[in-house]
Amino acid sequence: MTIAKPVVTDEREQYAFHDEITYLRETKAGLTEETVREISMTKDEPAWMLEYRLRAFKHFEARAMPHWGGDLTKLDFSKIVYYRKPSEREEKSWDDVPDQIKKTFERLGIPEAERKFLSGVGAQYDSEVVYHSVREDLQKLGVVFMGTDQGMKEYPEIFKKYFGTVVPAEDNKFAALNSAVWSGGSFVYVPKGVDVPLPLQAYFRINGQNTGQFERTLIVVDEGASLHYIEGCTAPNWATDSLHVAVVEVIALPGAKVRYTTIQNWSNDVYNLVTKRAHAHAGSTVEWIDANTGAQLTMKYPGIYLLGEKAHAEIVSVAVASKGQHQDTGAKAVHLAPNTTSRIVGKSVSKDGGVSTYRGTVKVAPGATGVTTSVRCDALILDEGSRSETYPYIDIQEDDTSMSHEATVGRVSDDQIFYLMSRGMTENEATNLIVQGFLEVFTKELPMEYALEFNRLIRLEMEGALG
Amino acid sequence: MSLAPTAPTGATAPRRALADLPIDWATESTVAELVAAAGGGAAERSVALAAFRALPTEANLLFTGYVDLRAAELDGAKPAALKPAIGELPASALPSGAAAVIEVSARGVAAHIGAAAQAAGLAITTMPAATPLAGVGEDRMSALIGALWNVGVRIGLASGSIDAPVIVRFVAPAAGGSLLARTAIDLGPSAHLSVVEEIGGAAATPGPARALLAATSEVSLAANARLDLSSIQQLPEDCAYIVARRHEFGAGAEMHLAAAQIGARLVRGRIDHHLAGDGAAIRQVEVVFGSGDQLHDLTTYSLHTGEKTIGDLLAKGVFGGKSRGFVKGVTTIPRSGRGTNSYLGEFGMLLSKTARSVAIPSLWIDQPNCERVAHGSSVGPIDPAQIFYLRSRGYTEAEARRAIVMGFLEPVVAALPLEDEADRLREALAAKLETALVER
Repeated sequence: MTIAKPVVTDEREQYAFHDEITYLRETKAGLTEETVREISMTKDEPAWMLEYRLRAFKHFEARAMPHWGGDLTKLDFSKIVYYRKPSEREEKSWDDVPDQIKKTFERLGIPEAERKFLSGVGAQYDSEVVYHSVREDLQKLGVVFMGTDQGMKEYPEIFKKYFGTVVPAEDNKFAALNSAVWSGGSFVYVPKGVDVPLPLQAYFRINGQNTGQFERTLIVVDEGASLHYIEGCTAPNWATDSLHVAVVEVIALPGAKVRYTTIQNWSNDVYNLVTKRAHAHAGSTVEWIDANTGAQLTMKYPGIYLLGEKAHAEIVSVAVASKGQHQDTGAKAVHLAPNTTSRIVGKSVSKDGGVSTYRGTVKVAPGATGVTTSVRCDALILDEGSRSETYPYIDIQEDDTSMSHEATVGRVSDDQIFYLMSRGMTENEATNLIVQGFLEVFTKELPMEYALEFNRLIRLEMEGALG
Repeated sequence: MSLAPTAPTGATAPRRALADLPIDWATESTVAELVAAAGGGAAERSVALAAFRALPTEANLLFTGYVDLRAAELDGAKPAALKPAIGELPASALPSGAAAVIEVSARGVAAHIGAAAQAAGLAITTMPAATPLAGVGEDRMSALIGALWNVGVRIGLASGSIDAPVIVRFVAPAAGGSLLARTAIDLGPSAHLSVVEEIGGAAATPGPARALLAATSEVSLAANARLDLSSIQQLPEDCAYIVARRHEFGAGAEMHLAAAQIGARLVRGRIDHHLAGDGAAIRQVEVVFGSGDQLHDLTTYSLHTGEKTIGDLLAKGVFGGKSRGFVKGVTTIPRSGRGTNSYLGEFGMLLSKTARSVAIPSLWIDQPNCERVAHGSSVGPIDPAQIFYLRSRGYTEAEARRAIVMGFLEPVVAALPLEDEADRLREALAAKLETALVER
């Protein structure tokens, strides 16, 4: 039987355009102490931040490249431009954003999304945040949503109290790099008891060739407050390496509820090496909902440290690895307090030679009594030549822990395909449907508009996956 | 108050990194003595010694964070250079129902083969001096044994079936001594053999491991051969046990491995199953019972290169006192491994607040067309609902706890071929459980 495959272009082609813009400022390619000083001086920062950056830079230089995970041998730090400033300042009104950048984000649908279903939007273009706004009623309640550089200046007490406490500069080589050259990112503060009803969204765009984007996000959700933060990201495909090294720190204070959703869709020339971690205090809930479909190499393991009694962690991590991609992703739940709970669900799809890796840790420290934790990770391999790897680490040091872990690796079953084809679907349509069902654990956690978009993304990723 | 540093009040041991294993007798001169006694094997041992020096203790980067050999203090514990020979044990040494008995100790190897087994073609011979040990290039502990083994025995059955088991008794050396023993088991096409390893030694007081028993099992199974291998390790608490098992499977070959790790201060074990033949199968049950300061560090590698091979691996650990268990597994299915059915289960039960259980069941899959690829793991306390149920049936709480732990470990006991062996293991586990429950 011959199956006609609809000709559909890769989803990311629609993001593949780039703007010919003249940057107001950019550093020379390569990273030296001078680069770090230049970035700090450009930003007119307090002295303590320059010291922090320099300390981190020394650690970055001293620390060896990770010898595990993906292939980083071709990553050339000397070819990356570490800072590119596209506009004069962060605007609060969309009309004030420079025209060319505004057009880019309009093509990506950002302002439309803000009007329809968001509480606030931030947009970062290369190294700097160009726009941030938050709904007026939330602003009146004290909700802060702005660029991290601006947050450091306008809310120094909150900033200094929490910055670098969840992900120290010395945590790993890439956290050190981010700490040395960070620029942009979101600073969010939700005051006690305030419920932010609709998501805040940040959108990250790399435009320039060989650009490094090093945003730094700091989210503090105060006691009893709640927040849903969503981030998305795209870049044009330059066919030369770009680098995205973010650090995200989330602090959920007692009783807070935070959900952090990522739909990562970088182009296939981006190294995506991200450190994301949350501190969950007593009675709080932190949820990472994380999808990775883009980038040539992703190394990302969202982590939740359960510091307070009865804190709860939920991590849903999905990855699709296609030709030339390695999605080395996973999750980390570290139980440091009694009666804490966690649930990790990992799902991956490997196709056209792609490699998916689940790398996860569950740790129950001495003193963390009464912990319940479960891990479920499943992988689909759609063809020979693709690979799935699973590396779970389970380290239990309390005798009343209840931990369960299950993992499977498989393929789309012929029976399922046959059944759906007997109902009139093409082979591709059937596969799409099965893969969408496999990843539903992620999509069902998304707001409706995002779920539709994600399903469309997966459908387009899957076109031509067979044969 | 003076802040000047004060002189140490007592001698303190120099700090050792977790993966360090100082062995002052791992030298060319020891190798030369062993070669002279064995009458050959210089080249093979030199390669292994070089590998021992060059390799890290843990070559797999996934596991480098889970190594701790500091309890082994093996300097001075040099193995004796023995001439290869198999002494004759008296017929009275043959346990009832066994086909043959082999005793491996620091004095050498002695054996007795029952008449029926002899007639069936069972051969027990010395390991030729120039037999290279597979895996020395990738595993430092294998390299140690490959360079410095002082005892070697081969068990062979070219064809046919022997239902009664061959008992292999390993007797640990006393503190300050080492025994590095190689055991090869070669089964010809469609041959069937059952082997039981009894690994023990004279009781000793707990403390650092100053004696070493390092052993291999080098199994080669021809097409459709079947080996049932059971191993009960009850070494004294002053002993380090290093074991390297490497199993090669021909088409349709099958191995049932049941292993119990109960004794020794420090256990570091590695099992490699290479399922090269189509339709080969390994069914493995391993139980680990730790108490006191014991550390069990066990890794199983399964490589499914043949088509339609089966890997069914189950590890169960009970940890009391301050004991630690690092139970790791890597299942690899390359593109050639179509139709593989693989399951890896690692389950733990902690009996004390100071015990630690680490499980790392890993998968590396390049072939989508598999029948099953899965792993499961759990760690939990004794289930209060089960205790409640047993108490409602008239058990005391202590009795209920014992029954539940023994039930958890029963699968490996049930796999032993001789009822006497199974009873002895039950008794050993029950005694260990008493100790562990007191330590809580």
